[in-house]
This record gives sequence, structure tokens and C-alpha cells, in this order.
Amino acid sequence: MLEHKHRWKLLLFSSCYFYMTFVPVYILILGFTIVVDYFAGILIERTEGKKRKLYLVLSLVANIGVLAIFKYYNFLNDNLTYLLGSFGYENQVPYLSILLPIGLSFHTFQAMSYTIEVYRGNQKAERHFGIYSLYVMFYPQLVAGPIERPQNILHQFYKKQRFNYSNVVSGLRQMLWGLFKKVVIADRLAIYVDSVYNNVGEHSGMTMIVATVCFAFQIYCDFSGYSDIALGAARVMGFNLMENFRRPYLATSIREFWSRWHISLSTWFRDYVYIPLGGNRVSIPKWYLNLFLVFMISGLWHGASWTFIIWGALHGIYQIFGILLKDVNSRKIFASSYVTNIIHGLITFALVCFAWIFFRANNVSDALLICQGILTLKAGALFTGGLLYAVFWMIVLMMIEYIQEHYDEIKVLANPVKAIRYAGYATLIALILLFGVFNGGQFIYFQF
Amino acid sequence: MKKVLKLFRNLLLLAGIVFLADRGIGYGLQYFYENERQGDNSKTSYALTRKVKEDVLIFGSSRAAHHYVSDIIQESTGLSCYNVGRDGMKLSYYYVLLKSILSYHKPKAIILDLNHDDFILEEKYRDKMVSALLPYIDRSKAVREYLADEAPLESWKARFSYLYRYNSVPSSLLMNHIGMGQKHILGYEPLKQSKIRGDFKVQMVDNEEYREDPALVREFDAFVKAVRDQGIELYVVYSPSLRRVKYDCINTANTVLASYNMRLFDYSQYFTSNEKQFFYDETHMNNSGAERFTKAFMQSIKVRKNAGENKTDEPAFVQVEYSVR
Repeated sequence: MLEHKHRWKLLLFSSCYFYMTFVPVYILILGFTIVVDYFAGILIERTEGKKRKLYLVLSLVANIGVLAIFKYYNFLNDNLTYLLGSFGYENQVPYLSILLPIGLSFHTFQAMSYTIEVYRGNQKAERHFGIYSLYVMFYPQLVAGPIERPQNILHQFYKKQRFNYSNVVSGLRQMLWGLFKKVVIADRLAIYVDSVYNNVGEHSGMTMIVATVCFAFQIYCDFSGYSDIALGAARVMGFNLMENFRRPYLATSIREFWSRWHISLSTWFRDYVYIPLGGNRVSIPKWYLNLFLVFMISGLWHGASWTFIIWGALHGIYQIFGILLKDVNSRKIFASSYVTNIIHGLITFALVCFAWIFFRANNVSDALLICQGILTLKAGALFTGGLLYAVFWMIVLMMIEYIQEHYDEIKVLANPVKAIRYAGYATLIALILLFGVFNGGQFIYFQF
Repeated sequence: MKKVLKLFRNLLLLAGIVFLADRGIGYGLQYFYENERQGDNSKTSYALTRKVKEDVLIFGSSRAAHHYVSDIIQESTGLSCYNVGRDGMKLSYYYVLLKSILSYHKPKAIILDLNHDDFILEEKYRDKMVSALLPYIDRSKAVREYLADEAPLESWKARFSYLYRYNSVPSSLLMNHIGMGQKHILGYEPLKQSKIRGDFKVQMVDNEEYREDPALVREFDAFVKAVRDQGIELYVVYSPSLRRVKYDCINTANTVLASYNMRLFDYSQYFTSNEKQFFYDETHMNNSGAERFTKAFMQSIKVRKNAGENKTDEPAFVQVEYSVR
């Protein structure tokens, strides 16, 4: 209904409003990186040689600097205090009492991908300041991704959009499915997980195993639920965002897991960190080091805490072992079959769950307590509060994902028969009303 | 434009289907919910669907539900008795239940069991009470008023959707209908054996953070007043516990009760730490403890003999000398 030439204004205004509903003043930080990167893009395009590189470096320093101050400063200061304290010195560097701006890591990475792509010549510098601001601030993906590339999204803001019935319907459908995953599964599992992970000393080894599996599904449904809502909302407006999840717990190796989990972030690290470090076109030890470093940085990206760094490091180690075992595999010791696929899938899931312990634990000592409890199968009864629903919905989700993976032709929400389609929608809405948890639970990834 | 109209038409169709499903399944759930025979919900339903007809009613939280044996009270007094105590509830809930019951029935006596922290309201208890009362939004004016004050958004959602009223209850509904729910006898929920293992010593909990909410104290006052105004005998009791706390509701409760020439029946130290066999856990007695306590409590009040006679102006129980052991 709105004229195309004014559309970006409405979208930008909505995005600003959306962002400012959290902590209004932090829009200034976003404004700072937008201004820096906008001009950096133009200058990179206009200049040649060393200057060009200088502008890129300045842009990256500005973005990483914002991250360093708002996300990592106090963490680094804490560690400095600990380090100096162990040598008998006192840390004089003051602490900053600041709140982490919501979705900072997401929009900073999206902004960085713009200047890098302009530098690489894959993207023309955007001259329209409003459109560029919209690229960084587009509200469906502003606070928790997917982390878009300029080549995919910028041109879409110029495209004249007409009302597209099938886009609107499929967008709404995806939003409904995302909402179901968030409020019925993730938030339901969160009740169980929180009660165990916030009182680690009180629970048995079996309870810790169950809570860790529950967390694996909680974080998946929470984050992929958000992504579904973001992708759906964008599609309703005629925009196509990149896919962020593809049934990750059906992966049969850690490598495959990362090609299905948080795809926009893993490809970001692949394109802008791993490949520039030399990727796998270096000596084998350097290759392993590259992998390890990339995953450790990826852990640090998630949060300024050793728990996230250990989580990333564990995935780095898994990747290296995966490569080492690939040689064993290629000798057909484990012949590929349905059964071995299941075994590989279960091993992958177990490894991913083990790493999730560090991701979820409140601190490293809690994580180690959980590991100890699990490995020694600490005695005690299984805590069952709210477990019935949790297990039920995890099984339902895995069945749905298995069908989606292997029997693409079976569709309920997108069934050609209208009666089946509408029955599916109504059932999903009824289940949300009947089993949803509406306690205002935040999306986990908003904190990153 | 045609496509936009098509979208609105289909959304309207979907809204219609959802509305019908919501009402249809909602009514079905209401039927099963209000006809449970076991579990906490069955007791709330009993009180809020105008079924209470007993002479003696017991109000309170889980301690009330597990500590007052209705059968013993019936035998001792010759009056019918029902225990509406419910796990995880606080004063606001007891008061809503009281107002609802008094709107259609006048019991002869009420026993209100207090917890040490009944004048403190934590968010988790408020949420529990709202969830417990939401299914009865159409059943009781007192429930509607409480929800409108305490949880207006929840109240609105429950009016909008019948299914939402029964959010998260299907599993307990199923358990209670297949006989796997918490069993009760006239509302009394017996606990078996004891969870207390090894050497147990009663320790004083230094609950420095204890801060009473004046609104809850006023609610307690209103509870007492509502009962007294109707000429119903009221016994406010602090039943036995192995948990000793530095700060509790006793002084405040006694201050309120004194203005009605009443006092609290403080049985908190009725059992010593050597008698842990009467406790399921620190704060709840098991069946042996509950039976012993109920008998002792009934002995401490003289039972009205001629309950069935036409002497409604007489008190149900006549209080006699009570002494802590």
C-alpha cells in the first residue's frame, strides 16, 4: 500500500523502534558502526592499494572495538585481575558498569561482512545511507540473525515488492512453526533445564544427562524457532533471508553438524576467518590449528566467558578428531550402512551434548561438576518435575524432523489439500494455547 | 487486491476453525477437569463449583492438606468435614476459596492453617495461584475479581481462549483420571513414611530477609472478619513443623487475631527432633504424625455434642484450655 520509494523509511523506522524497545540509548552504538562502515565502504571502493586496505582495517577496528568495549572489556579485566593477583599485584583498571547491547555480535558481524565484501569486490559500496542502515538494522534479523551477506539482502531493498499471496502464507506458516518450537518446546524444556543447571549439586548423574539432552533441544528450538520467525516475517514482506538451520541433530558427524547448525555464523567464520587463515591449503598442523582457532573464536563470539571458549575449543577438537578418523573410515572399517549411520548420529549427538554442558553451565566449576556427575553416574533419583512433557515434545520434534529429512513429499502445513492444511494450522495453534509457556522467556541468542 | 481479499478470507476461516476448536476442546477439558476424583484440582473444583456442603472446612497450603485428617475430625465432632488445603498456595488463594464458598454455603467451623511465610508473597506462588484459579474464571465472582487484580493479562487471555485456561494441565488431568494422581480422603492427603534419613537435628533458620507484605496481612484480617461476620467458628492454627525459623507470621497473626478476641493455636513445636518418625520431611507430617496431631488438636477443643440439633447459634467447637506439651 505504501509507495515503493517510501518503503525503506517505514522499514527503517520500524527497525529503530524495535531496537529501542530494549535499551533506547544503545541505538547510538549501532548508529556509530553504521556511519563508520557506510563511509568505509565508499572509501574502499574509491581508493586503491594500501589506502584501500587501511579503510578496511579502520572499519574492522571500529566494529571489533565496539565489541571489545561492550562485550569483552570486563571479561578481560576479570582475567587481568586474576592474573595480576596470582603474582601479588592489584589490578587498577576500572570496571565498566554497562549492559551488553542486544544482538551486538550479530549486527556487528553483518556490518563487517559488508566492508569485507566491498573490499573483495563482491559487492558495490551502497550509496544510499538509509538503505545501508536498513541492511544493518532490518528488524526481523537484527538481534539474533541470520547474519546476512550484502549480496543476498541489499538488492532486495531496491526490488519493487508486490503482494505475493504464496510468500505471505508460507511466511506466516514458518512463523507459526517457529512460535510452536519456541513456546511449546524450548520454553517447556527450559523449566526442567533451569531447575537442574541452577542447582547442580543437588541432582543425580542421570538427571544431569537428561537435563543436558533437554538443553540440546531447548537451545535448538529456541534459536531455530527465532530464525523461523525472522525468516517468516521477512518473507511476509517479500524478503528472502538465508536458511540458518537444517535439522542439525540428524547429522552423522561434527562436520555435518556445523553445516546444519547456525549456518549463517559457520559460513561467516569459514569465509572471513578460516579461509583467510589458509583453510586446509596449509601444512597439516597449521590446518588443525586453524580449525581449532576458528572454533575457539566462535565460542568467544557467543559470550565473554570461559565456558563459551571451552565449548568452542571442544568443537575445534572434535573437528580435528573427525579429520583423523576420516582416514580410518575411508579404509571401510566402518562400512556405511543404515545402522552405522545411526551409530554415527548418536555419537555426534553425544559429543554435541557434552559440549553443550559448557555452553549452558553458569560457570566452569558448575560445568565440571556436571561432567563429574555424569561420568561417575552420581547416585540419586531422577528428577522428574515437568519431564513428561519435555520428553514427549522432544520425541515429536525428532519424528517430524526425520520425516522432513527423508520423506519430503509428506507435508501437513503445506499440504495441497486445504482441509489437511487448515487442520494442521488449527492443531498447532491449539497446541500452543494448551502447552505453550507464556512467561515472557527471552530468546537465548538475544544475549549474544 | 483479489489476493489480499483471499488472504483475509482464509485468515477469517482459520480464525473460525480455531475458535470452534478452542471452544469445543475447552468445554471437553472443563468437563474432565471439574470431574476429577484425585489430585489438587479436584479439591479446588469441589470448592469452586458449588459442591461444598460440609460443616467443618480446612483451609491452607500443603501443610493443611497433609496435616488434618478429615475422618478423625468427623468422628470427634460428629460434623461432616472437608479439607480444601492445596499444595503451593498462599493466603490469597484461601481467601478466594473462602469467598466463593461463603457465597453459597455457610459451614459451622473453619480451620485455617498458617505457614511461617504466609504473609510473604513470592512471584512463583502468585503464578501458581493464578494457574490454579484460571480454569474457574467463569465459575466464581471471587476468582474473577482476584484474577482481574493480580493478573489482568492472564485474565484477558483466559476469557479469550478456553484452551488457555487449561494450559499445561492435560498430563495431570490424564493421571488423575486413570488413577495415578495424588489420592485424598475428604480432601486429606496422607503422606507415607519419611524422607528424613540419618541423624536429624532441628536447626534454627536465620531468615533475615523475612519481610511481611501489609497487603497480605490485610487479606488475613479480611479472612478472619469474613468468617466472624458470618458467625462461623474460626480456628487459626500453626501446625507442627521440624523447621524452626527466626522470623515468622506468628506475632503478626496474633496481633490481628487479638482484635477479634482470638489467638493462634501454635502447635509448631508439638513434636521434637527426636520424633522425626512423624514427619515426611521437615515441614510436612506423614500419616502417623497427622493422625496424632489431629487427635491432639481435637482433644484440645471440646466437641459440640448435639451437632444435629437445631442450635445453630452455638459454636461448633467450644475452645478449652490448650497447652503446648
